[in-house]
Amino acid sequence: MRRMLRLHRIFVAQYMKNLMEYKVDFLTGAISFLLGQVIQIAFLGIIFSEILTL
Amino acid sequence: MRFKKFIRTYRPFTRAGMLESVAYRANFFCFLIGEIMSCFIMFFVWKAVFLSSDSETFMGFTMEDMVVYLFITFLTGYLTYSDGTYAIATEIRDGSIAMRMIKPCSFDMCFLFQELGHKIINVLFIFAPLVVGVEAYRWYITGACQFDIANFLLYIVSLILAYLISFYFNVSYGFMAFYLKNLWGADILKECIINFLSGATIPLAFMPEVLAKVLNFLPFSSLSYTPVMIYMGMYSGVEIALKMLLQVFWLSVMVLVSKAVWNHAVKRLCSQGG
Repeated sequence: MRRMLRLHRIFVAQYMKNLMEYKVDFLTGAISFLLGQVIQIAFLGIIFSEILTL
Repeated sequence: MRFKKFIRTYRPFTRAGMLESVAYRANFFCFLIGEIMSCFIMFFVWKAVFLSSDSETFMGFTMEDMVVYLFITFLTGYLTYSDGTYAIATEIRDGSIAMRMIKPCSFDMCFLFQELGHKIINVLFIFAPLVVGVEAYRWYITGACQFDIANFLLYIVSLILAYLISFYFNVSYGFMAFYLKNLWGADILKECIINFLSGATIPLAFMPEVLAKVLNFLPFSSLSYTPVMIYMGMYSGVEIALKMLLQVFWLSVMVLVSKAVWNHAVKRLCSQGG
């Protein structure tokens, strides 16, 4: 189990490096991911501003 | 004769695609369960909204409409989704695109037929159960069968057009990897923008009128909004014809764009290795 977790950590780290290899691309991805989350939350905000009580 | 040859050339790709998508069964089902769960989360959000509001309708939608909208949008999105961008970008980056280029067949066609294989599996496992489920729900709520075979057939036609638009758009976008080398971030950006412009995150009916008009004309609303509205019987005969013409128009634009980009981009292939 411990071995698995250790291996997993190494794989995750490698994958992150793999992504960050292309810096501008990585930034684009990170920003658009956040943007997507913001839009989703904004949508929920709009819905719940329309209803007064829950 | 030429048609027969065409089918014989590309059928193996479809077969490979089918095998690909059932190769990792646990992965397939986990993904499916995850998607359906997120669909149900939205269902419960809307249920809460309708339970707490005093009126029967919310922004012109009844609860029944909303459920059909949610699930059919999910289904349409799932079936028109094309993995082209990511797959092509990966092939360009690691250079395996060379294997495809030396084959004596058209690049986009062999991609298309490979993806058709995935779609056949998806239709078998998802399409039929979901449509039956949604219709059973409608029957249960309204007490009468709401299924309209004409609308359903038109929906299928519109769905196929939507898929082809999505495919060619993704292929064109994927070709950007010829210039940008890596498309991981650009792919997320694309998803984010398309989800917004196509009405997947926020239904177009809820948007300000001017914005909704503009978005309705753009190709992205043809991806899922048009087929869904046809399924729900929201359009009249003339409107359906106009919307489908718009879809055909965007499809031809996308095909031409993908050809143009390909012709220009293929000359500067530069792969990075695996």
